[in-house]
Amino acid sequence: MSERMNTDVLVVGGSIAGLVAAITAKEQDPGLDVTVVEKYSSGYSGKANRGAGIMLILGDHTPEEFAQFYLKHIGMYLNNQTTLLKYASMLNSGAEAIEKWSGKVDKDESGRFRSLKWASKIVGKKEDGRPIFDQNVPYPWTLVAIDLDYMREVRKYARKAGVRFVDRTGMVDLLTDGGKVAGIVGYDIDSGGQCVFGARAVVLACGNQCYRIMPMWSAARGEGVAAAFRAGAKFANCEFGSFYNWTNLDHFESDMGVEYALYNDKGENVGRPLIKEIHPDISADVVAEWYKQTVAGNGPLHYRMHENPLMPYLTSVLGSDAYHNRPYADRFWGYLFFNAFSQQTNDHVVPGLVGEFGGLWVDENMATTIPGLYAAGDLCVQGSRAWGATAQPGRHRGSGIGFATFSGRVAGPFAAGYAAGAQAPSLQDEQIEAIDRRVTAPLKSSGTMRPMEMVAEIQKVMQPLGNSLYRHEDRMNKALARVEELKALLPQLKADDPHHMFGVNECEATLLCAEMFFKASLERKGSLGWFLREDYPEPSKDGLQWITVQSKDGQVSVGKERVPLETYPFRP
Amino acid sequence: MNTIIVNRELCNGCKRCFQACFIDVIKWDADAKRPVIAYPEECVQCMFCELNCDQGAIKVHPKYESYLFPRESLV
Repeated sequence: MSERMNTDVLVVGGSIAGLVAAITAKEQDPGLDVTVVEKYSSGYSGKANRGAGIMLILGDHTPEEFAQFYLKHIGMYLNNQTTLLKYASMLNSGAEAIEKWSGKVDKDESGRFRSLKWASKIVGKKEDGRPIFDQNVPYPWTLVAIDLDYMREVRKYARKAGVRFVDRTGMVDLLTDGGKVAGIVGYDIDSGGQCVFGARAVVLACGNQCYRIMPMWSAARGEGVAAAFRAGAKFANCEFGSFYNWTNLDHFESDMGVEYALYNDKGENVGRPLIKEIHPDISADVVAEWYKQTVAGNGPLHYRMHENPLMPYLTSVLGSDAYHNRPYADRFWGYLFFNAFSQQTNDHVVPGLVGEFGGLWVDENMATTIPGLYAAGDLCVQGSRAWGATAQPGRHRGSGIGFATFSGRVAGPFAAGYAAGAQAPSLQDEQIEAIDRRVTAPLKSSGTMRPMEMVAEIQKVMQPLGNSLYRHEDRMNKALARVEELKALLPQLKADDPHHMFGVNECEATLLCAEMFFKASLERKGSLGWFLREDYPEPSKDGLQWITVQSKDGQVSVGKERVPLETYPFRP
Repeated sequence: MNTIIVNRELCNGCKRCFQACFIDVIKWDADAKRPVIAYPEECVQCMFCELNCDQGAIKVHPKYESYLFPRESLV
């Protein structure tokens, strides 16, 4: 039995980007009805409370300084500079907003944010034992720390502000009316009951695609990407959705700074020679070196942790209260590190695919190409083109919460403004019935394949560095062919409850993301920033172009757009 | 797979573990007011259920060797 509900602004996803969008939409226009729909439980869901809990701010640096550094060393000028500058100019106030809503940003005795620059070195200790850092590092930003239970507080704030919450309801598709957004179709993840929402404006904030490979990113399964694609939205920079973190196969927890202390089995440090003087974070070149060494028979690769110069920063920020006061985060990291290190048997290190595929195209106001549809958070990081030629977290850690807060604070008010002037949506039963047939088909399937079996097969296509990082046309064509074979197996997937019905929808979304990723990657014929091609090691001679992806009769269609450098303030 | 143990005597039915699970491993038995570990094979040892239980009524024992990861497909 279908349940129907109407709202003015519907926010899909109750992690930090969605919560921020909902609060700011409501504050922009308190007369509007604002509803957050979350597949699990908002305030707990997503990944913004399971990472380092650090948030990028500019501190005393200017947006122009940040942008110029970023364009030169990270984005390689493949950026939308308008959005990059807007992002930079809203970082400091973003941290203040998180503090206002949660009270969980770490502060010193005088009540100011306690910040710490990436890669700072310990030069002494205070009387209370806290480390003193030399923060004279060449990066024009700094980081504040947020305790990881902050999202619960932000949700409480949102509720007090009048935001309505519908938990345990996952979106499977968008509804449109005359080319404009009209709402969503969702299902209760416990009962399987259908729930249809009509909305004047929708903000998609339900995360990106991480292929369920690395544990903490497991919730990002791309349903929002797929729904936006099916509705006809444009995408960009999809080929940059292949971030890798260093990990160990004994426990799969992440390490940072491994490249400084990466040794092949002959005892040669093969990471440090590739580190440039300006090294804001892991680069694709050092991950590719792991691949080259392994293919050359020089593996396994080893991580000599004691040689990692980032350790003073990392150990002071994560898993200890040496610098920041974050009791919840300390307990969280304490659990993870205890479990991991009690199981680790060797110093082998591998790159684990994180993915972070989020190419939904948005303009500087977080508007997608579908009228009334906005986006916030990981789903549109690459599609915003603010960060250019890099994978999320963009070689500047702390940017996940930074971008989520920025994009939520932009998308919320713009969605509210749109909703205030929009007609009440008209929902079309044929659309809803077609979606229902697609989503519930696995419950009636006579197939025997389980969703987790499909997940394992997709992982084997996406994880290999030769496919997704150090790319080559031949390998990508083989990977695409395998994606097509797996797509043909989708009707064989069997679900016997709502959990697995969602599982099948996630598999379909994941395969679509894989296809978009490889097709966009094949189109970019040149290496740039995070994007590496073995067969095209130099930058393309065609100049700076964005690869775009859009549905054409339901098929993945790829295009190109020139980066309008002449309209931007900074040039190479 | 990971082992997730619930002490049903210590549990006070607050639902925190169920809410804290970000991938639907834990369901909720509304009649018994206790969590149901419905899909332990999908648990990714994020530890949020244990972290959020004020009663110390839920424990996660990771078994990393069975974690779903494409170990043979690295290059």
